[in-house]
Amino acid sequence: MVLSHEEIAALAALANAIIPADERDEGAASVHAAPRIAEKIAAGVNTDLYIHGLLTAQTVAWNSYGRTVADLAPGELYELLAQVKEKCFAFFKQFRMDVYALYLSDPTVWQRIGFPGTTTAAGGYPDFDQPQ
Amino acid sequence: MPLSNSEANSAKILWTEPRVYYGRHGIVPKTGTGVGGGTLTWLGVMPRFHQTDFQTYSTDGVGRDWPITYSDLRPYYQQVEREFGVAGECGPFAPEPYDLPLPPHRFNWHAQVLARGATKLGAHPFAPPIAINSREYRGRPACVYCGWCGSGCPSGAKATASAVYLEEAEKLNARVISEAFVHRINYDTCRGRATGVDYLDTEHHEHRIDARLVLIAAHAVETPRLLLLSANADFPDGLANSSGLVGRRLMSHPTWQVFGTFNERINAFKGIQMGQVMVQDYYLSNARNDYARGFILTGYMMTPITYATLSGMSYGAEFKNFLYDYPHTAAWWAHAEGLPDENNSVTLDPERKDSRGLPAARLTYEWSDNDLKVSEAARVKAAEMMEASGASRVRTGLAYGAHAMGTCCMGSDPHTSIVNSYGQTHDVPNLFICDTSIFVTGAGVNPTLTAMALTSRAVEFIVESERKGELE
Repeated sequence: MVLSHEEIAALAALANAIIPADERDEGAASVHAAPRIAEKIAAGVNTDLYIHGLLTAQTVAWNSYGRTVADLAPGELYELLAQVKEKCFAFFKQFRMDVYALYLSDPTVWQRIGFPGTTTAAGGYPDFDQPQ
Repeated sequence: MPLSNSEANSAKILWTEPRVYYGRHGIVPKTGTGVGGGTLTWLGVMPRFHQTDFQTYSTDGVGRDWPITYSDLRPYYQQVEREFGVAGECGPFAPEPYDLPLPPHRFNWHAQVLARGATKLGAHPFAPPIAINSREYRGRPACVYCGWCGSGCPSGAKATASAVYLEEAEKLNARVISEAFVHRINYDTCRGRATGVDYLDTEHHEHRIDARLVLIAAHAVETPRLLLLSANADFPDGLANSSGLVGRRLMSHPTWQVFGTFNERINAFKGIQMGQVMVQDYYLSNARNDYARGFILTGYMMTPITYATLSGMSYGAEFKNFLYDYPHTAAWWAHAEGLPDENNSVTLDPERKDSRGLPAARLTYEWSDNDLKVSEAARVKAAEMMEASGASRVRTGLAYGAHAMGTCCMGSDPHTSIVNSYGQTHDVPNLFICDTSIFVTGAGVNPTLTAMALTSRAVEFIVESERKGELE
């Protein structure tokens, strides 16, 4: 199932509520989390779960704020996610995992968080037992 | 091809087929897949069970007693430790003093920081037995402490069943068939014997292999699933299941991840992922506790995605700050004993099917009050130690079930168990089970060494029985 632009926009807003933008980077948006997850949904990966979760989020947004998910402010999105987590935990868990897996697979993110990546071929870490 | 991402590589050797998680505390035990099985993705920690682990009912009035003792397994523990090349110390609370073939690994900086707090609280941290080479051993190199153990170990320093056993077996003309999904054990009603297996290849084409002996080592979820899938006219509830207990008494280890963030850099990714340091001071039952049995604490640090997975369920700025604390963070794995319960089980899900159209396994689980109390004690102790180490912030991460065990329990009575102490099924004499599913209780330490020791004991029994013609 191919998501609509509105649904991808909702997904993007929710993804940046999982990993928000700040002075370090643009958060989940910096790795294009929403369109990449949308591609997986279109390929049939966890499609039903995502459709159910997005519907839940949209319903909560309308009922609580009278606006679409994509129109909510960061603080409102944070509160919205708390309700989504409560109402649709399986979706929340999968979505959170998909977002951080994309974020933490990006070598530029590794660099920012201080993880050097693979070093096996270069001999690993001879200083592993020394003060860091 | 160089690894770009530990978890991406792990996904190739982790079980990702559908399962259904059910019950109040659904557990999702990690399972390996591929030639080498769980040892491809395991982290190599190999402590022995303690004497009382085999007699929890007699000593503590909980769980059940095994039909064997520590002494029965001692020579097989030694054999596996020698074959796998286990490095480390037995530790001050070992079941008995014993030596290992390889010297212990030096503590990485992460382990030194953790040990600092443990020692302050009067505990006795040590470098536990671990099947990762501290020096070259039997053609495999010494560890370079790159920290990618869970992705299959790119250096080859970690012992695996494929490198240690299967490669040797192939030299003796054994044939290894990869990506063969065994979905049925065939059975001859007249002879009362297993006659081989049916399997599907990656194209879902059916194949049959006839055999005089069938040994299953599919772990505590897929082994009962296979037996249940192999129901026949004589065993309508599953092969070797006259007791009705196949799949019952699923056990796991109630486990907390406890993180401590420090002002100094820890760089815990430098070193072996799990088990550079262990504490066993709180392992045995103590009458002063409000719970039976005990727990271990082990240093466990991981590559970034697993770090996030074990963080719990936070999100927003809190979660992002946690991710950016990665190089400043240390972690204890607080791992406790979970007791057997008749209601925790592996069954065939009535609705969910895998890609082959076979019913998926349904895992039903609820921790007991004792499980929750002992794991809480482990979590609290880990947090105290983290503070004693000087952490500026202590975070409690994910609570989860580590390891799966106990769904084809061993025992002497065919009415209350599936296999005898050699893993031989009571109902089908030429059908053996060689994995953690035959555990009676799960103990509080990592289970792989004990599963392998039981298997070595079973193999010796099989060879002797074959020689006597008792398995015909």
